[in-house]
Amino acid sequence: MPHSDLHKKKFKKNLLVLGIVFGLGALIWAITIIRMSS
Amino acid sequence: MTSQTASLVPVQAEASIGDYFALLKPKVMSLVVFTGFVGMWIAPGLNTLHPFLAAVGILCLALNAGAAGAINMWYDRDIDAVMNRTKERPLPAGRIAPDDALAYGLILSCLSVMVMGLALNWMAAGILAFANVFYVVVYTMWLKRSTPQNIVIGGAAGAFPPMIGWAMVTGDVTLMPLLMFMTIFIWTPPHFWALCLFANEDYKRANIPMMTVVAGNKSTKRQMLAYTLVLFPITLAPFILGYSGWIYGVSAFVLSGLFILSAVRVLGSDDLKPAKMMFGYSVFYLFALFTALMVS
Repeated sequence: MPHSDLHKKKFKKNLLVLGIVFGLGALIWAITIIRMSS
Repeated sequence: MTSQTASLVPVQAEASIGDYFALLKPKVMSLVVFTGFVGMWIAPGLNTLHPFLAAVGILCLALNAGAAGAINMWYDRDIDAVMNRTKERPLPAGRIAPDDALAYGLILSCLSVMVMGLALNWMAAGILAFANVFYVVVYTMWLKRSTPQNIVIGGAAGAFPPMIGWAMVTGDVTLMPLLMFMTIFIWTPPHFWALCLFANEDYKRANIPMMTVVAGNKSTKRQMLAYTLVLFPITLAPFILGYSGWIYGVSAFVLSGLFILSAVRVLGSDDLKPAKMMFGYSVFYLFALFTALMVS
């Protein structure tokens, strides 16, 4: 994987976006489990 | 400055997380969250709602209100740049690119409606989507720059949260959430016009036809008093109709009475101080009124 200045500069923000995407997935999973159990 | 030239303002500095948070208009969001929470709290059957789903619903409400605010800032970046009150916002200050703000607002709007529908019900999600479109399209894009009644009609967008909170629990809309809607709807013009009285030069410079700019201060003050008088029986209606107890009844009587008195003070003075005080009181008034409703 190339590690240009742009990659380094955007690394934290990209990690944040990745975290948000995984968080959304986890949220929808939790909603599904709760709704199915009620 | 036109919207075209404003869109050419270069991004001058790296945006921080705080800038993206500011794009969500946190002060407006806090009022939306609070009134939405009260609507949910007083709805029958709250104990049947899973606490996690209730929290998700409030989060969606907050994010959707914030998203509408972000799109509003994207559209109004030209007028925000010429108003002292708003020129330091992330877009006119050049810290966030307009396209980024628009994408951020649109994605958050869609996500919050979708998650609300999945977590709670599609009635609440539908009203949430309607409130968002109403604020962005009807108020921001259409009314704000075309009529002094902008905040009167557009104020409906801010009146939906308690109705959404109620619908999150019950899946329907009855008289009580409509009364809460009417309370915020009628409260909005005197609240916002109090701000306009001391920010009039800003609106004149931005060429926004606010009531104070078009009809003058005296006429605006008279209308503010009229709205506070109309608000009085509306706020008492939940008590009279038996939806709330005496704590709310007494609170509504006293708080609304003081709101009328503050409007009378504004009308009788040429000074800006009573208007500033009325603006501050109007924020306290709504928080106190809805707190009393929740307690009662």
